[in-house]
Amino acid sequence: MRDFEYCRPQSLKEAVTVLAEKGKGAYPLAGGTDILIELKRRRLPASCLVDIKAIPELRGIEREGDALRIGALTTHSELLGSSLIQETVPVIAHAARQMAFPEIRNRGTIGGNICNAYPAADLVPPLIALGSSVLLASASGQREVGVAEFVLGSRQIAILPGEVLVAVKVPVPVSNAACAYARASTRKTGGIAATSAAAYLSADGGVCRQARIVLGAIEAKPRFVAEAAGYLEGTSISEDVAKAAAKMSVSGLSPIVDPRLSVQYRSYMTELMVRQAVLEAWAEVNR
Amino acid sequence: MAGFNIIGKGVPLIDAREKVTGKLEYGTDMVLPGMLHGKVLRSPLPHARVLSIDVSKALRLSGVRAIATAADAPTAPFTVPGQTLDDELLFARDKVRFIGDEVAAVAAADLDTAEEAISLIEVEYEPLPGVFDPEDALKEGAPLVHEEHGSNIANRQKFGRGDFDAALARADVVYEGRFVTSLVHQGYLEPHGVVASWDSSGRVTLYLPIQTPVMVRMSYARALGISEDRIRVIQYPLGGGFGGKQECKIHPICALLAKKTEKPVRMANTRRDEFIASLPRLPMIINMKIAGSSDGTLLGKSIRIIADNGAYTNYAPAIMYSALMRHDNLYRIPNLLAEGLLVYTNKIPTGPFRGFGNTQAHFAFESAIDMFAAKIGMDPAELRLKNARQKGDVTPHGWKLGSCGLSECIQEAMNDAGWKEKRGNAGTGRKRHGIGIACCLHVSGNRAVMPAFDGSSSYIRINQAGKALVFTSETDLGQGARTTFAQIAAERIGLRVEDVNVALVDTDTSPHGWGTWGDRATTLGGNAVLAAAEDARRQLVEIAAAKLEANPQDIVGENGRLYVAGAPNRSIMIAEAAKAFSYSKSGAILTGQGSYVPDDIVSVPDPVNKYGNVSVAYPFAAQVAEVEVDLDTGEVNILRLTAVHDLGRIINPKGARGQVIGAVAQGIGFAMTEEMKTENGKVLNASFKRYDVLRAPDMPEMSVGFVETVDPNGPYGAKGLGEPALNPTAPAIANAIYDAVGIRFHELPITPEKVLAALRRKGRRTQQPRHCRAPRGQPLHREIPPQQHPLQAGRPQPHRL
Repeated sequence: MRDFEYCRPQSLKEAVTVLAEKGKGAYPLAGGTDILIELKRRRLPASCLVDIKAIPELRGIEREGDALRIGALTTHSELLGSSLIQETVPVIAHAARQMAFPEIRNRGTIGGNICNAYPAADLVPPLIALGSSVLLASASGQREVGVAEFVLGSRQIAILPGEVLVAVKVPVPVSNAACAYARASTRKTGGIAATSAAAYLSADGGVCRQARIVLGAIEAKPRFVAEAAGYLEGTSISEDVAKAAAKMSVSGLSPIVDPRLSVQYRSYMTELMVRQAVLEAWAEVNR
Repeated sequence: MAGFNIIGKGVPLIDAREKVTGKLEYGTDMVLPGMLHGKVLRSPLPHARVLSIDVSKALRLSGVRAIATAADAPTAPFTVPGQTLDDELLFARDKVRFIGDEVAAVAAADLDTAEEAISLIEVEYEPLPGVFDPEDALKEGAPLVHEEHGSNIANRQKFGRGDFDAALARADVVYEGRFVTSLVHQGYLEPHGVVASWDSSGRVTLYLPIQTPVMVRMSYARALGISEDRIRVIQYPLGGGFGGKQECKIHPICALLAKKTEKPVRMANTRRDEFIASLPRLPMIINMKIAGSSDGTLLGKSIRIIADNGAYTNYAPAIMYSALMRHDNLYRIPNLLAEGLLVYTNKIPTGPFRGFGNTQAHFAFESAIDMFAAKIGMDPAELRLKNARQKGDVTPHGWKLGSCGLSECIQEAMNDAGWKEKRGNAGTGRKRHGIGIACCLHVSGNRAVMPAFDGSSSYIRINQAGKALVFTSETDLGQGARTTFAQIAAERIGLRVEDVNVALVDTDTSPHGWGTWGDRATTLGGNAVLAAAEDARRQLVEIAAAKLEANPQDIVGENGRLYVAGAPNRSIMIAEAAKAFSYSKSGAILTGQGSYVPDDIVSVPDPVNKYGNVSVAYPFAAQVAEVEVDLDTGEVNILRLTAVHDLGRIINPKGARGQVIGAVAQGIGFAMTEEMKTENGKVLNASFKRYDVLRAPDMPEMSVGFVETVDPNGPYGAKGLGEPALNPTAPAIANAIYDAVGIRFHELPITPEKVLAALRRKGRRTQQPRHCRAPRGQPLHREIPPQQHPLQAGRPQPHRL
């Protein structure tokens, strides 16, 4: 581990000032479950860690009109324990529960899960399927970017120097819409996703109106599968329809290497996960 | 337990409070004044000539105190105690032989500097072609891992009993199968660590979390080129060992750095170090042949093992020996043939892991037994019962079974699991149900190859407050040996268990013992503690008898008090007696001494034909696994696992239950999830993130039962439990999968991917495996309808709106 500076700003204003001052080598530190490992392995060119855990503006889960505002520091454990999330976007709680072990869920944050941009990040596919965005702050102001646009690839995000992720904005599905998330791993609990799928569906009179399917873990960045989603729209989703959409979802994939499993098996499991997510979301919509 | 005060009681582990409160100090928590930090530079190549090592840049880094390479180490190769193939050096001299091979080590003021320095050492390599598969390594012209050895065969063993060929000729049915086990890690949570410090007299103290504190001095003395007496080992509590903490090269390397810098040095493995350069389980390719009659009489068995030693030889020859023959003593099979080849490859060296070869062999053997049962159309549990060894048997290898509860274990496991109702009842639909059984036996108190270490010795000091401290060299690696010893001592002397502590080993003050492996601790260590307790009790009773004006034979000890039998009010506290002893002898502390010498019971096996009663006692077990196989995903869900163990006598039911559950977790990992995947000698998943050990929520429902056979040679009749508990788990699961889907898995781990591929190959089954009797002399083949898996079609299913 190389030497680095450490500071702990008490407000968002102070934080963005420090980030602007320290420039390129400054990294916000939240739960530290990823960044500290990267530092120890000498893979992160950090000269300064800006510990954001004391900043009150980055905490809390609130309803703001049609959306939830989830503070960047919200841990996975807080996500899965929040009654507001359970009532409005239970898929986020479900995805948070899949992530690692209680020790990590108690430390790891939603902001970190997104900014780390690990292909197997569990929160990212459902957030994208729901149409979520991130709120970013810097010394020069705030901006909002869709999560789908923010995550550029494996460990790559569209963050600008001096910016910090403040909160995630998650549109609350309307009454005839739902989102589901399914993932496969090599172990029963706590394993990293080997492949995952999120499906967002809305319905009108027993017919799917809008569909969004997002694949996680299988490629370097979350993948929208527009063809399969388009195929679902206008249909009344059955087992066979879901199966066909799942099949479409995996054509033309460029899977990243995972030493644990073959590409063929992961592609096959991707299909099963899409099928499962679509059927679960559809059942939820029609409940 | 009737008749006992403390034996058979579920007392908490002696160090439970310290562990759960996080207060227990482990080896690398230790800090000595002026202590430096060491780090090893490991080879990035699997096989290469070392042309030059340039440490000049690293030495210029501020904070670097010393760098050691092969130039600083003795040139004579060494190996572990009791083994003869000296092929290790502290640092690679001319050649590196695996990714992870030690090339150099740095001592620096802090760990970051040491790491930085490691990255500044420039090594020039000339890459050589490597060999990564043991069968390739046997081929003509394969690259030689050790040229001076002349071939890649590190060790070869061949022996037999009876006439296997005649048995084969006589048999109605023969099953033959090839089984492959994978490279798995012990997965102890605490990586290897060491603090080394030399004193001015030229003696080094090593503070080690280690299973074998006395024994390691033998190999470390050779590695360092000094006498054993110049090494003092002070044992620290172990954060798990499972056989993996008998040796670690960073210990002597650390001593070398401490010598060079004249400062204490601390070193600890990272998890990555553990996965690339520790001593994981020896992987084996096992050809197993079972010959028998169609009525279920087993006539003969042959085994041929090709074992993947890795780049250097640790205990692998002994592990292979264990794999070649231990399982032969499970059933009555008269004709046996064994052949093993231990083969060098350019991979991580391998070593002991809970089960010591028996785990690998049991997977093959107990799978093969099931297949033999299927061939003759017999219930596999019945086949096992029919051939099960019994108490009093002397096996073809010369093992004398003083106690044997195998049949009882099988019966109890069958009853508990609902064997009769569940067997052959896979059901239909996406999830198929299966149940499978496997048994095992193991040694407990293995005869060493050196007479000085055959049994065990102990002494017990009882201070003026009546508190006892037990000394032994059989270590606690988390399995609870210290608690077991405390219970044995307390029971015999009449102390309260909380008044007995058991010292960690210090080679300057502890007895000379070989440490914990081969399930030695309870039987050998326990007997030694019992003997020492008897000696202490005798002295206490003398004092008590004099004070109470009673006959020594009438004195009874209980709950910290000695009293006259039948007159409990005529009593004296043990503390009072111990104090009287001390005061009458100018402060001497009452000390009981005891040795357990199993001379007349066990014999060192013949080096060539391997015949002999190697162990004091033999524990047995049967486990039944119940699984559900998902035909769509290939996932195998273990619904329930029944484990019934003959452990002779239960000393501590809580500890025993914990041992079994922990072992089963490792057994399930071995069967289903764990594998160090390698490619050209490189471990691809060198972290717990991608190496899947089981955690508590991954465990199935467990039912643990015990059969108490009261072994004539064990302390209070107890036998070992830690190792046998792991051996039957993998084959029980494989046999259950066979019951569910009729597919025999020959290769571990049985991952969903492999299951799905096998299901696809065979076609989706609608029928269960049929258990029908084969015509005499003819192997039975089951025809499988060549149905295609729906997803094999490779194109989207037609859809309807």
